[in-house]
Formats: sequence, C-alpha cells, structure tokens
Amino acid sequence: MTQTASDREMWTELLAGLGKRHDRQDFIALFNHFAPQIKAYGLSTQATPGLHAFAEELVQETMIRVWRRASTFDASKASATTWIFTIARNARIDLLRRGAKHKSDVDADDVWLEAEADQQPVEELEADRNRRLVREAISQLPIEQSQVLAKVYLEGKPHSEVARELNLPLGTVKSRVRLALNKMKLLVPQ
Amino acid sequence: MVHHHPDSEVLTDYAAGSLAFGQSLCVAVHLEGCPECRRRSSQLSQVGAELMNQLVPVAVEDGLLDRILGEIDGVSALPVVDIPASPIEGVPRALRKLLPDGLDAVPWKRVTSRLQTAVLGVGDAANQVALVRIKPGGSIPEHRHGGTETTVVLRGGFSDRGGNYLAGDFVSLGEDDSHQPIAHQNSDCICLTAQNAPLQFTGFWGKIANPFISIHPQ
Ligand SMILES: [Zn+2]
Repeated sequence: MTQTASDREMWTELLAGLGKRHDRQDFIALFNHFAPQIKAYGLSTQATPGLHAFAEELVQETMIRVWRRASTFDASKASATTWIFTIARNARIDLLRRGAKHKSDVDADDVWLEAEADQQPVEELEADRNRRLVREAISQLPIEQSQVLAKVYLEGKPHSEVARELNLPLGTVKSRVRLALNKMKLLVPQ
Repeated sequence: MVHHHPDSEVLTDYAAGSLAFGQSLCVAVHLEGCPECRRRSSQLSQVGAELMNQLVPVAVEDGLLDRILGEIDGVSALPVVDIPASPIEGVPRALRKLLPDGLDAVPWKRVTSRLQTAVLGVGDAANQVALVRIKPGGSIPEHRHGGTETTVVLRGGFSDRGGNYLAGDFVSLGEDDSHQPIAHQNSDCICLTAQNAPLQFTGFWGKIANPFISIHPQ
C-alpha cells in the first residue's frame, strides 16, 4: 500500500495528539489504520501453531502499549510508522518469549526501547529524505534481496537461520542485506 | 570512546528483533555508549517499519477494537516509570533488572584464582549469558567457539590478537575464531558474554580452567 508523505505526517500528528489529549477517537483512527498492518506483521512471523490467534494477540498487545506510551512519542525523533513498528517488534519478542515459557524479569523494552529513545532529533527535511530513500529502495529491490530482508525483519529470523533455510552461505545472505541497505544509503558513513 | 562495534549483520538482526535475546543484551550495552550505532540502529528500524507498511493489510476480527477499548478504560495513559531514575553506578540500563545491587554485589563463582563467572538468567534458551571477571593481568585460556560468542566490556579492559577492548567495546566471534583475552594490568576486567555453544579449549590450560565447561544454555 503506498502512502504519500502527507498521509504519513497525518498519522504522526494524530499520534502526537493522542499523547497530549488521550482522546479515544484519535486512538480508534490510529487503530483502524495500523491494526491491519500489525496483524499482517504478526502473520508473517515464522510459522507457529495458532498463528492467527498470535497475530490478533500481537495487535492487542501493541495497541494497548501505543495507548499507554503515546505521551512518550516525540514527533521530532520518529514517524508514527517507525515508532509503532518498534512497539510491535518488542511486543512480538515478548509474546514469543512468553509462549516459550522463558522466565525472566527482563523484557524486550529493557533491551530495545531506550537504546533508540534518546536519538537526537533529526532535521525534518533529512528525516523525510531518509524515509523516502528507504521506501523507494525497498520497492525496487531485486527479489533475492527483498526475500532475505523479509525473512530477517518480518519472519524474525537472524541471518544465520536465513542462510540455513535458503541453503546459502552466510556470506551470501550478508552481502544481499548489505546491498539492499546500501541502496537505502544506510550503511555508508555520513 | 568506543572503538569496536557490532557489524551490520548483528545490528540489522538486532533492529529487526531477530537477534537472540542474550546477544541483543550485549548490543544494548554497546549502544548505550555509542551514539553512532544508536543512530544506525534507529535507521535500521525504519527499514522494518517500511517493510511492515508495505505488507498487504489484513483485517482484524470484529470484536478486537471493543476488547482493546474495554482494556484501556482502566489503564492510565501516562508513561509507566518502571526503572529507577538514578542509574546504578557502572550498570548499563539494559542490565539494571539483572543486577539490582550493582556489579560489586554479583555472586561470583571462582574458576581460577584470576577468573570468576556469574550466570545471568535472561530466559534465552539458545544462549548462555554470563558475566566474566578477570583479575588484572589474568587471562581466559586460548579457546575456539563451537558457535558464536558475543562479548561487551562493562569495566576495565582486555587485549587479544584482535586489539584492545575497553568499556562499551563489542566483539562477536564465530565458529572458527580462536583467541586468548588478557585483562589489562591496572584493574579487573568485567565483561558480559552470550554464547550459543560451549567453548572448545585449544591449549593446555583449557583442560583445567574452562570457565564455561559445566555451563550449558538453560
Ligand atoms: Zn558502535
């Protein structure tokens, strides 16, 4: 689904507004837009029994976290899409760990959220440029590159597992990911 | 100033949430001291956001929104502060729940006169996560890794043939890498390590001083 830049700004503004006013109507609008995306993300998780129920639970867990934490969202540091992705990613990690009955006090937010939370605000122009580069590059990737990216990000498999699954040398998987990231200008120093 | 960083494979797996929990913990400790990797990691999260955004949306079940609205009714929308405001001296944020009383209250287990370890229960079935403390000038015997060994320095420093490692520095060694870390002379070196297979010791000392010999992923 393609979106224009102004669509995206709209969601980011709506999320920032939710953080200030905690209005249920804003929350419902965000739910209607993001829940089907989060569900698709949940469904792409590497096959587990009860995947459908898992995806619904992921939507619920993620959206409740969005409600609780909206006041910590800072529109100068992230877009709504990126912020909600990181919340869905962490919620998925926690649900998978819970499902595997790992007993630990530590959860995904201890290991992931704060690390990104103190990002310096980026110039709006630069952020827009970065997002556009990433978006355009992703839609133009050769299949063998988009396939490995999807496995790493959506199915949640580390490089090593992707290599085993596709019966490729680890170095090949690495270089496909690196090629893709280079097209987004992500791994070259500033 | 940190000098040894996770490579793009590790950082991408981390941002995607696909890196094992124990290794991710090591990355988190590194990120705390490395603004450059923090910036890259958040850019790599943008990639995940775009990939999620480009998936074909799937309608959720009818009752889901009502269920969620019912749940948030009683839920405060204020930020939840579950972490003490004042950081514990010398303990990275990611380790605060694991080390509530700081690095000096760790129940160390003696391995040799110069080497101690303490296993941390992080609930990672694939990785053994432990703290390792080497006395000044002490070493870990030369060893190879059956799988991946990820290390981040918390205090002090060590050297091996790969270079000098100080607080915040990150190193990930694969199956075929062999090394013999030696702690710097001036202070204890404390590291956090995650390893997904028992080490294989190559030298004589390994036979008696294998710090991880009785440790398996739990
Ligand atoms: Zn770094």
